[in-house]
Amino acid sequence: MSAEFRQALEQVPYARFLGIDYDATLRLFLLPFAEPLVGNARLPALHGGVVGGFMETAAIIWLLLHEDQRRVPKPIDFSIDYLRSARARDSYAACEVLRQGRRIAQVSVRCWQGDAARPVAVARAHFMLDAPAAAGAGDGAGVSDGAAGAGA
Amino acid sequence: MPHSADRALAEGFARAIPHSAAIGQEVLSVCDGEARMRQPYRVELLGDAERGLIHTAVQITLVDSAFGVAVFSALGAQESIATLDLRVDYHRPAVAGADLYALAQVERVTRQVVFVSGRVWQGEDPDKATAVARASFMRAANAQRPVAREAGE
Repeated sequence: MSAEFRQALEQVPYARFLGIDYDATLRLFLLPFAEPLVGNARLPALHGGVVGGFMETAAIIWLLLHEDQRRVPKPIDFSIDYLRSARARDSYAACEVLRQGRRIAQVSVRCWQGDAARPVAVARAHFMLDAPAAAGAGDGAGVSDGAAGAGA
Repeated sequence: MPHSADRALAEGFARAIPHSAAIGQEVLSVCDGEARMRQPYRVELLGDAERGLIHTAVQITLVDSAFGVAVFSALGAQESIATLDLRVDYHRPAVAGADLYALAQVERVTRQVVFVSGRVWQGEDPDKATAVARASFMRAANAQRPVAREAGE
């Protein structure tokens, strides 16, 4: 576990609660299967909220690790399409920053289990970024535009 | 008052859904397509330790659970369902130290699909939502996997 990822876990305690790990070489997030993550005991299948939460958390940590964010980005919205049932096995997530402006980042996340070509879910999310202190001057009017974690 | 089938649903909820039991979710009420749930605050649910905020993903899990309970109560049978999609808008930060409440309401049941909406809040006022959410579910999803195309039928 890299020092950077360990620091991200300090910032985002819920990531540790789920048991998320990160492979810095493959640039993939891992959610090892654990019984308490199950949402449907009969199938069994992971809780849909766990899959969504894993993907949203992956996006947040991705921004912390790779997009020079020192503070936790504030989620504005999160949208997920469930494609297949997530079974009782390890899950993986890969993130892609579709767009990053000064205030907003849009991140796409894919989640799969055995076969990367058969995702169990795809998601996209918007995050409000911490404006660099020096860059705030020309941009101040929109900073508290009411979104999300905007922190008002 | 919840009728007896719904009470059984609420009581059986934690047993049937291991993650909900692990994270401490409680069904407060469920009746005819409407479910109310509570997520007690716990420090391990923080998503931003520096600012003292509960992780938004905890609200994804809470509304997803509440949606499932609401849909089951609307269908009134042991019909299997599969979530097609879910969207959450985060209107306010959810702060540390306070429980989360969720209300989920079934808006429309068609032959194939169930549409639901819901909200999450802290404190006394549901209008001060920390998150609002919307989802659609595929009905009778047991044998075959859901095909997203069918959602629009």
